[in-house]
This record gives sequence, C-alpha cells and structure tokens, in this order.
Amino acid sequence: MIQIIASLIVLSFIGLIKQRMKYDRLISWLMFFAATVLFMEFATNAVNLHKESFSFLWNTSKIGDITIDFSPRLSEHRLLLPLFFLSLVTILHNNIFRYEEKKSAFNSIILLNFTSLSLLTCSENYVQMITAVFATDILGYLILKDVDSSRRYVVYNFFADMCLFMVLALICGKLQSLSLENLPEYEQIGRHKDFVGLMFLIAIFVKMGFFMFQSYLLDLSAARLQRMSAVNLLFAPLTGILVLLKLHCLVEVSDLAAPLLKVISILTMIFGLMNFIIIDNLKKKLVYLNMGFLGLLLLMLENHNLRWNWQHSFYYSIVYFINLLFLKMYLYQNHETKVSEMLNGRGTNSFILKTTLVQFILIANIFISLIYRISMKQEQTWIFISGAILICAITTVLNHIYQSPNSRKLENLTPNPLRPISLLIMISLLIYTSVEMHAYTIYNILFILCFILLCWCPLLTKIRAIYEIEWFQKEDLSKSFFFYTLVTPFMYLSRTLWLMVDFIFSEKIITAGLTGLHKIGISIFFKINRKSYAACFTFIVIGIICFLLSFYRRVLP
Amino acid sequence: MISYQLLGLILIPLIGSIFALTARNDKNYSTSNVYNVSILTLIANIGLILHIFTQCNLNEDGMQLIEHFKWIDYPFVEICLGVDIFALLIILSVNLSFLIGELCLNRNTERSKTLITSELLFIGLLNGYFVAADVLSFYIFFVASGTPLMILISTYGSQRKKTVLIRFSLYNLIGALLLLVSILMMYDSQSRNILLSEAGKLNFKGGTEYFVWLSIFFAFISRLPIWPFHYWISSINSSLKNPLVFLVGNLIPLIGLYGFIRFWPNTVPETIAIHAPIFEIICIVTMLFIALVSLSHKDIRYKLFAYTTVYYLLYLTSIFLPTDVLKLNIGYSLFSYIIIITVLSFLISHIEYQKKELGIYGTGGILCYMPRTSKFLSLFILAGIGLPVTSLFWNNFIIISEIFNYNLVLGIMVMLSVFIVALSLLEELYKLKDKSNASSACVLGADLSNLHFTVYLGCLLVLFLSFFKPLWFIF
Repeated sequence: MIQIIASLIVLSFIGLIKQRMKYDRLISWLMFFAATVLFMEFATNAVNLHKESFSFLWNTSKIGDITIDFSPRLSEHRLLLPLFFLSLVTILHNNIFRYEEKKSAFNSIILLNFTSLSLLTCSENYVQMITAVFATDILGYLILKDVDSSRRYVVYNFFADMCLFMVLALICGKLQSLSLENLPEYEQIGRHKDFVGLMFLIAIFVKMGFFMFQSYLLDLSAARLQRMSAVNLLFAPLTGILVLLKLHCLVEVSDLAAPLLKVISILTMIFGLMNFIIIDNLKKKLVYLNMGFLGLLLLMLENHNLRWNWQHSFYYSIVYFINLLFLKMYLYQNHETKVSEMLNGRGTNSFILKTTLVQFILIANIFISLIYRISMKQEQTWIFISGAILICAITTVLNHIYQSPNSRKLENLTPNPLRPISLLIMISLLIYTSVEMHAYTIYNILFILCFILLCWCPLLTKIRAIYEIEWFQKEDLSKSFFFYTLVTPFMYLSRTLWLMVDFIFSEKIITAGLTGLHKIGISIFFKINRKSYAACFTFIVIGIICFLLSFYRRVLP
Repeated sequence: MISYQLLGLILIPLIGSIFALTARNDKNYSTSNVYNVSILTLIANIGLILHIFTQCNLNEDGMQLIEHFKWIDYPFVEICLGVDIFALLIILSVNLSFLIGELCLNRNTERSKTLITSELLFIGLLNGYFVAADVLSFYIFFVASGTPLMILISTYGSQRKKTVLIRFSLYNLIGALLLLVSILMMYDSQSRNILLSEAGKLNFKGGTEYFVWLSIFFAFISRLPIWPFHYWISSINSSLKNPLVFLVGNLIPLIGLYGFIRFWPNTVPETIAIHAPIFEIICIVTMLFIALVSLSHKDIRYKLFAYTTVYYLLYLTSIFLPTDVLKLNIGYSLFSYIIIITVLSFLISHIEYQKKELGIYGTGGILCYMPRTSKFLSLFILAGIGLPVTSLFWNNFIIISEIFNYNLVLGIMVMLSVFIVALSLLEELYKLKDKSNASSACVLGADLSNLHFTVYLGCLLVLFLSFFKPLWFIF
C-alpha cells in the first residue's frame, strides 16, 4: 500500500512541474495510465483483502503519539475504491475534453485529493484526520483558482474546519488521548455533549453545503463547470461525508443531534429538488441537484446507522455520472449556462445530444434499480419514492432542454477525435452495470418508456415559465439570512468597539489621561527642583515620610 | 572548563552592532558594508545556536549549559546564563527571522546604519534576555531590550511618533520600576542574586508576596498589548512602515510572553496561582476586542497586529493553565509563528512600497499583477491561520485541547477570536486579489525579485520541515 500512496504522491508532483503545451498533453495521458495501473493494483489488494498497511510515527506529545496510518479494512475499501475510480474518470475526461490549459496540474490536484481523502478515511488519530480535512480544502481552493468562486469557499470551509477543530480539541482534551479508538468513551465520560454534537453537525452541514449553508457552493458557479463539478463531488462535501462516517459516535452523544441531522437532511433534499427545477442557471442547478442527492444519501445512511456499504458507493458513483452528463450537455451546448437559452439540438450536433439523452436514460434506469434494492433491503418505501422524485426532476429539466422552442442552429463543435472514446466508455460502463444489476426487467422497460414520455411531455414544458421570474433567479435566502443575522451585527459591533471603545475610551481617556499624569509628574519634579521655599518644604515632607516608613517598617505588611 | 557559548550569543550581535556603528557615513559604502556585516553576524549566531542545540539533551526539561560569571565582589553578584530547548527554539526563530529580514530588506532605506545597529543591538539584548538564568541579568536585559525600539521609533516613526514614544517610555518605565523593586526585594530576602527557578521558593508572606509577584506580572504586561493599554503598541505597529522596525515592534510582546513562561509554570506560589482566572479573563477580553476591531480596520498592518496579538495571548492563556506539559508545544508553535509574521510583514511592506512607487491610491487588486507575491501571501496567511504545513497547526491543536479541557467557555472564546482575526486577514487577502478593485492595469515589474522569491521559498521549506519534525535541524 505504501508503494501505491507514495507513487500517487510522486505522480502528482511530476504533474505539477510546468510543461509546454504538447508535453503537458503527453504527461497528462501518461499520468492517467500510471494512475490506472495503480488503481488496478489497489483494487486487487482490496478484492483479495490483503492486509497491507503502514504506520509511521510522526510526532510525539504528552497525550499520545501522532502517527500517519494507512491500514484500510473492508469498510474503508468500500469508500476508497469508488473514490479512486471517480478520480480516474475525472482525469480521463480532463484529457479527452481538453477543458483545462494545464491538464497535468489539474490531474495532480485530483490525485493529491484522493491521497488526502485516503489518509482521512484511514486516520486513527485526530491530528492526521484534521490535517487531511484541511489539506482537501486547500486542494479545493487550488483547483478553483478563481477569486470570486473561492472567496466564500475558503471562508465557509475555514469556519467548518474551525468548528471541527474545536470539537476534536475538546474531545481530545477531555479524553487525554489523540487516538480515535477512544472516541466512543466520550459518551460515558465527556461533558458538554449537546455542544459537541451540535458543533459537529454544523461543521458537517457547512462542509456538505446543506440547507442554509449552500451559498459557497452556489458561488462556485463563477468557476468553470468542470472545476465546480469536481469540487462539488470530490472535495469539501465529500470530506463532510467522510468525517461524518468517521466520527458518527458524536451524533449519538447528544439527544438533539440525530433529529437535527434528519430534519436538515429532509429540508436539504426538498429545497435542493425545488431549486433544481426553479433555477435557470445550469451550474446552480447542479449544486441544487447534488443537495437533493446528498440529502437522500444522508437519510439512507442515517437509516443504516451511519455505516457505508457498497450500495452507497454505487449511489455516489451514479450521482457523479449524472453530473458528468450535465457537464457534457453544457459542453455540447457550446458552454451555454442558461437552460432557458439552450437549444433542442435538432439542427447540428443532434447526434451527440441524442446519445447524451440515451446515456441519461440508461443511468436513470440503473439509479432506479439501485434505489429499489436499497429500499427493499432497508424496508423503507420512502427511499424509493424520494429517488423516483429526484429522477422526475431530472426528466423535467431534460424536457426543458430537448423541448426547447429555441430553433437557432447550434454552432458546430470544434473537432475532437477523442470525444467518441468518452461516449464508448460511458455506454459500455452503463450497459455493463445494467446487466450486472439485472436492470432489464419488464419494470425497467416500463420505467424507460415513462422517462422518454416525460422528456416529451408538453405539460412539463410549461414549467419553463418559472425561469422568467426574476426573484427566484436572483434571491439566495441563505446569503441574505447570514448577511442580516450575522455579518451586519458583527460589523456594527466591530465599528462601535473601534470608534467608541478603542478610540474614545482607550486612546482619548485612559492613555491620554496617563500621559497627562506623567506630564504633571514631570512638571512637579521640575518645580520642586527650583530654589524656592515650597520646593524645600516638599523635600522635607518627603524625607519625613521616608523616615517614618523605615522606622515603622515592621508594622507594614 | 568554562563555556562561553551562551555569552557568545549575546556578544556576537553586539560586536556586529559596533562594527555597523563604526562604518563610514558615506551612503554607498556604508549601505553595502553594514548590511553584509549584519548578515554575517546573524549567520554566525545561527551557526552557534545550532551548535548549542547539538550539545543539549533534548529530553531534559530544565536549564542546561549553565554558565556563571562573577560580576561584583561587594555586594556579591554572580551572573548566570542557561538555556532549555524552549528558549533555544525562540532564539533560533528570532535570529532566523532577522536574517530573513536582512535578506529581504530594501537596501535603499534611509539611515540604514542606525537601523542595522539598533537591530543588532536588539538581537543581542533579546538573546541575553532569553538566556538569562538569574533575576538580575533577566532584569537588565528586560529593560535594555526596549532601548533599540525607542531609537527606531524616533528615527522611523510617523508624524505621531512623539506621542507614541512618550507612551512607550511611560509604560516601560512603570514596568521596569516595578520589576526592579520586586527583584531588589528578592535579592534582599536571600542576600544574593537568585536563579529564576528559585523565585517561587522564596518565603514571602501576605501583602509582600502579592506585591512582589504582581509587580513582576505587571512589568511583563507592560510589554504586552493588553486592553485598554494596547493603544501604544497598536500605534507603533500601524505607524512603522519599515518592515524591520515593524518586526522589532512585533517582537516586543514576545518579551512579556517569555517573562510569563519563565515565571509562571511551576514557579509561581499557590497563593498567586489561584488568581490565574483574572489573567485569563484579561487575555480573553483583549483577544476578542482586538479581533473584532480588526474586522473594521482598513489598514492591513493593523490586521497583522491583531493577528499577532491574538496568537501571543493564546500562548499566554495556555501558560496560565494548571499544567506544565505545554511548554514545548508553545515553543514549536512559536518557532513557526515568528517566521510567518516576519514573512507576512515583509510581503505587506513590499506591496505598500510598490503601491507608493507606482503612485496607486489603493492596494485593492494589486496582487493580480504580482503572481509571486500573491502566491506567497496566500500561502503564508493560510499557514498563519491554520493550514497544516507548519508546526503551528498541530501544536495549536494540542494547546487548544488543553484550554478546552480546563474551561469550555475559555476555549470557545479563544477559538472565536482566532476565527475572527483569521477572517479579517482572509478578507484583506481577497481584497488584494480582487481584480474588480484593481486600480491600474500596467503594474509591471512590481513582483518579488529572485532573491526574495528564494528566501520565501526557503522559509516555506523550513516551516514544512518543522511540520514533520519540529527539531529537524538536529541530527
């Protein structure tokens, strides 16, 4: 395992070296192939459950050793394998679609992020864990590059990290141990359990961009869609899930935490779904769609005692591929962001737009089969219903695109001989998965028919009118809420303290008063040094006081 | 055989300072010579510090390499010098930060002879303060270390320098007098100069005990920006444009902090230690106050001052905890912290210098045209506020966990202050990076030079190595 992790890090650093454009392409592909080989080795180890691991002593402290551990068990492999796979797919699409000027640098960040997430998943002490969380955030910041999109990303994630830092520091202090193994003991001996539970959940909600904390993800729309998409699914929100899984004991320490998690997850799902349909901007739509998917994922996880299994991995991978298809749609529509402005593709580019729709149909079919299995296994019908609603929402947006009244012909896309590779890989992957999941029953065929019908349904087309309501498109409730409840009062408090207390009280009254006293003292000293009767008298009085003090010294304390 | 290594730490910068002082007044001649002398002096001092490190036992807690020097026969006074790993780490970071300063300083600075002489004098006195192991030498270096800053303020201060100087001298005078009285009382009780470690064992009773200890602590507080007496130090930091002088100003609170570290844990008597919550409340009020005020301030130097203050007070708060296990963690953290504030102050000065040179009204968006500066400023600000690339990160985690273990509210307040001050710095960073604020589109050649770039890269490397192994330089 250490060879794989070390190779990934070396590979990432090679990618960060500045190259000429033609070498950059070559290195980018070489990186992909090398990462694929490493992935296969990693997968072999995971499937055969080879217990290869490593643990280094990093530092020592009075409350325990700080180590760097990487010893994945089956539960960790369930997380790491899909993540490695998704990172590879991201690199592949970066190479195929050429949407980054510095492809190898982009690939490096993706690989480093996977390494960081692996170390987070396998961490056995608080310091390694929080270091990995911080590292992922910084990598997210590096991938965004854009000032507008990264500003709120940095602030929100820093806030979440500080909350997490605070919670872990508190636990670590109370348990007097850095080891994560002792975390369950906190429930017995720990104090301030509600505080710990709530702060932990706030950190998770912010990281995952849940209801009322989604502003920073919406701001990512200023960045390029591929970067936004990567950050949305492979960086901060994913860190939130991993941390939640790692520290799930903390949800149990407080009686308030579990209900709050459930309520916010439901609200996130509903809010995400509604806005996915309402908002015109495709980038923002995707943020809301992910909110819907993540809300449902968290509800499913909570139903499963916050334990991850292969079905959850599958679910997450499908969400990633749906995002990828929307990204392709955006690219095939010549980077058109507004859904209301998108063209139906009946003129040029019709083949690729239709194949994209086929991919959507296949993936929706797989998703519905998976969600059906999960709901049967957990005996919860609402999971299936929620999944079906999510698919309906996607169908509505596809209806808006493919039934668009805009008949202007699309400009031809720039030729890219590699584009069919993406199509081939996607189609073969989807067919293979459909076969593996037995997603070809009569119900599946019926579902596909319904999906196609909905995509052409004129009733759904009428919902397009909502894109013209300006208030929906511009208003971000969470941003306004935080601005008026937190930012403005803080700024007023800050200004009041600065002007009233710092300037007038400290500077004008206290400090100037002391300086004045100092000046008076000096002037008195000058005066008593003059040859006058008053000065002589003052000196005599001071002398008598000194004499008396020394005489009665024993009486003094 | 008597060792003179610790004495060497004090004497080398002082000799360097005399060399700088005796340089001819010719501008071109003195500028290059004076700078070279100071760089060589600092390199020699750093070499000596590393040599001393190799002779120390890393697992030992107390003072090591003790050197005694007889001073006066009647009354008998013997000066004692000694170091522990904590003190050596601080000495190394201070010397390193001045070396960074020397390498990155703009050599066209006016009155460079005064600047370098005062700087070397300050380093020598500061080294002396850190290696002082008895109360008398501790007092002498404590008082003397304020003198170079007075010279520098009077030379490089802004229009308000007279007011600032009066306040600085006033607070320092009060602090020095209080410390002198308490040290004389200590001397009087034993009829000899006592070691710092023996101070807690002296048999003072009642009011005398309170007077002695409170005088000592007020003396240290006089060097710290404690609300409401922080205005003088914030004025100094906001008005000093020269980065080296700014650095000296920023290291003044370190003197107060070090004083508390030497006197409080394990030394202070139980009757005084029970009053630690009062000091903690003072620290927290100041941290919150300065952090909040920094949100509204437009001046980036004030924000940096707020950042340094909050972190100094965070370390101070951890000293008042009823535990002595954090000293080395504070040392590791301070090592990175001092280097970070040095680089930040020089980067900010570089931006302000370029702004002045180019005649730009505001600095908003200026980093768009200075990619190297932008990268370093972002990295060092992120490192300062908690990016896990320095020893500051995980040591602060351990320090804060102890604060939480002691008191939840205290921990929350500390975290809140740290968050606010970090937010304030981040806000400023984004203002500097924001293209929509950019005043001019033709800021060419304003970026860092190759030398500065290499120095900052070296600093990053030092910090990164300290993240993996705090004492990486000892083999």
